[in-house]
Amino acid sequence: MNRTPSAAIETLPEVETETDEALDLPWNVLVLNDPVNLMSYVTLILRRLFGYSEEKAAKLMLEVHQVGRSVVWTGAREQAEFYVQQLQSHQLLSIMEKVDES
Amino acid sequence: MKLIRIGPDSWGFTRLSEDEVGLLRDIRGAADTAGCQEAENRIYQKPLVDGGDGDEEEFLSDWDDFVNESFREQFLSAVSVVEADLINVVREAEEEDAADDGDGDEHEGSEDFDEEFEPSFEEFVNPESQPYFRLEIPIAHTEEWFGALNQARLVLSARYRLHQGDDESIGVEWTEEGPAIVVKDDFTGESVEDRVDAHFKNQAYGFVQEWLISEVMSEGLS
Repeated sequence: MNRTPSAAIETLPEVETETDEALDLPWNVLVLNDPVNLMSYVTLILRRLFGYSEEKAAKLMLEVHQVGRSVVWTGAREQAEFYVQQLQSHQLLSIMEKVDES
Repeated sequence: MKLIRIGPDSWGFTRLSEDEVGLLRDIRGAADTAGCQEAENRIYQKPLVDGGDGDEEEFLSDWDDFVNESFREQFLSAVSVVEADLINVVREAEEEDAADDGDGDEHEGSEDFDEEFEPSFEEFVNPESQPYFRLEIPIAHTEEWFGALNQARLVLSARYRLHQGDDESIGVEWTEEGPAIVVKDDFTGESVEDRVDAHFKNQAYGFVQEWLISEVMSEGLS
């Protein structure tokens, strides 16, 4: 006896799954202003660490100086942790924060 | 004090006065965070401002245990490199001695730096006659020197409250009688003398850092 294809298909109950969207959100790496680190040093480290041009690094450094903070990189959390570690190892004030999607 | 690039493999200080050698020897003490929680917090930072969503305790704890501990070793090592280099401070040979000694090595100082050095009466009344010292630093130690100077400046700023925001708390103003120290806050945690001393150390170390960035550390960046 042949079974029709439709009879062979069992319908599984729909299961709600929770996806941790937070894991997928990008993270910002920020450099914060401090009165001690030289502007030329901040620029140098941004060039070395991220491979930025002198112009881009200087622009970010000026933003740090004038606004108090600058997002110097955005991306996956693991890489953000690495960059914050590198910046702090050069004694720059640095943190990471989740990108605000609102 | 003069900073010079000696060659492809080294840079250094020349025309160092006795006081300036002392200034360099003070880097270790200045960089020490002991007894200053504010300096400790500045040097060994957290990676997040507010602990994230409240579920970051483990991450922050690991950061303290592993990342900041590795920084502690790194920063201490940098200061140790500087301290070891400072053993090589030598007295500069006076020009006439160098010209007369006939060994063709006019740049070599022959006397080691003497911490007990006392200027003669002539040297006291005529600073130009005081001896000078020099120190050659391998290029390979540049990052350690810069890091130690930076740490010293960060700790000095925190311990002696040298800054209010971006502004300096202590400055020099020129009056009719000459330069005058001006303290721009009412911080009493340290004596004014110590704060002024810290201010000038901070300035001097910053001067060396600026030179290192422009003459040594920017090499290879296009």
